[in-house]
Amino acid sequence: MEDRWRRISPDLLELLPTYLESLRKDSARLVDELNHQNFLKIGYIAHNFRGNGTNFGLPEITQLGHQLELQAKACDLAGSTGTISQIQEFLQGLVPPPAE
Amino acid sequence: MSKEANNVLFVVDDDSNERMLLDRWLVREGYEVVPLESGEACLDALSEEMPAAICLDLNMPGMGGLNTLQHLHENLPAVPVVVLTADDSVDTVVKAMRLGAHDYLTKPLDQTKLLTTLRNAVEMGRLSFRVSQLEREVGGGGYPGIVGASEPMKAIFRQLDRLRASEVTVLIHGDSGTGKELIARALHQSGSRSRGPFIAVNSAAIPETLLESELFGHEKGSFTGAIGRRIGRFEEANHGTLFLDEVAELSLPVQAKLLRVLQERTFQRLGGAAQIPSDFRLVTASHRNLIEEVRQGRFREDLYFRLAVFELDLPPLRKRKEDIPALIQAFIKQEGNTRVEGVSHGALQILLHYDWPGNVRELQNVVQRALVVADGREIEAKDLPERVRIVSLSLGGEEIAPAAESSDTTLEDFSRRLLINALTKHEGNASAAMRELKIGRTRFYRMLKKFDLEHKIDELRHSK
Repeated sequence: MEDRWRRISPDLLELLPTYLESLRKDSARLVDELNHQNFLKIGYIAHNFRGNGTNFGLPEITQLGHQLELQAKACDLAGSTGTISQIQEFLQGLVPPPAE
Repeated sequence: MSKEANNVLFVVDDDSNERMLLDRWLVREGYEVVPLESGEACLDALSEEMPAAICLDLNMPGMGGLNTLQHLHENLPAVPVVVLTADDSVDTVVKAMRLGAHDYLTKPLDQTKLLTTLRNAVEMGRLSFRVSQLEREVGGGGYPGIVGASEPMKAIFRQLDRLRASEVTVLIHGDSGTGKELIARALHQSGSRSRGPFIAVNSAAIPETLLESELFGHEKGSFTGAIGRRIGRFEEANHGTLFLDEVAELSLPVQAKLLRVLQERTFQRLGGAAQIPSDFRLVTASHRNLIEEVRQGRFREDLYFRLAVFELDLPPLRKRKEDIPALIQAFIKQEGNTRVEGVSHGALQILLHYDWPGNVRELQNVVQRALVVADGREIEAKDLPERVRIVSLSLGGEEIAPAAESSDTTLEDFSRRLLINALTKHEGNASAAMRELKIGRTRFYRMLKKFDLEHKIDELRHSK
């Protein structure tokens, strides 16, 4: 098991599959909102990523969420596009903990 | 955590993952968590439940966290709010604290810090609540027009203290004359809607055919006799409190319509098409047992659950007789009678022994009447109505004065005389004497023992 998963409590490990599933859905929503240049909604999703990524063993999501939130506030299309790609790559490369 | 303590926490966050995370941490700590996805949902939930504290995210669509916080601070200052947000800018922190946040935590949350902060918030809320309760108890209740220092009334005041910060619908149970409308007014005056109207409707006093029009109002021409538009009570109570007394008397069709108004928060006047928004706090009352009415099919179960979010049981006066002296003084003061200062010992004993089937309203009537007939500085036993003094006995056509003739005669002397008279009249027949005196067997024999008259029955029987 990756170290990141060892650092979170068994309580939250149980919730991880639900959390990862919701992250994937939200990242797909980010692409959709980006296509419509809806920076307000991008900002809300990014803010949520920032808020609890670390709690679930994903400080990268917290950091990328913060970055995207600032870009959305600035209506920075290029920056937001880049960060959303980073988020998607990260999630694609993520190895979830083994199921018990 | 104590089972008796309120351990309900609202978690208000548009992020389902955050709600899931907090739910896991807080439930394990023994709290009961109500997850809510918006400020609007939080305000709606407050009409059903009063939490010990609220965890509130600031960054939410719609009403948003700061607006929600402001509303909570203005209407429910007693409930601590802990703000949780990823935005840690000084500006946001200052805004939140100025709007009354108890504390502020930055996301991603630290579990230990969160639990400690919430524990402190809940404890602070409890202490503030207890301080207001104590202030009320020392100040004699603190609800104008409601007199009582007995334990049953202290329990009522404690419940009122809890309810004043809430918008929950309240169902007041109590016999006739126990003060249901007074309590409803107290709820209104001590709550956030005190600047709005208090509208009272007695469902039993209005003919069924007119009740709908009374509640909903009507448009001109909506029925024969509707010569103009009439504003109904739902509309009059907007931004205030609607008190529906004797709610069990509503017909089933009207109950269904009331339920719809409570669910949808809009209504139509009779004959009207427009949906009119209604924003009132509903307080209802009944002397009937509504659960029994539901069982008998006379009251809708779904409406009952809507009305009885919080139930208050008002004690009958006979269960709080220690309040009678204070109530009497309050009524004397209320009548503005400067001649009569109080009540004699003998009269008070009689008043304390009477059962008060009409409760406080009956006591008030008795005092009002006594103030008119009293010719001294005190209300005396002779100034009280006969039914309260105990029914006078006739012996050979002569009426034996049922009341103490002077304030020196005690109730005990009087009761002993009555007992002897009854036994003598019926020649020792205990059953007949009991019927005459309108008392039960246990009380009769207790009185015989108390006055050392147990021998009297045999004496009278043998003397026939």
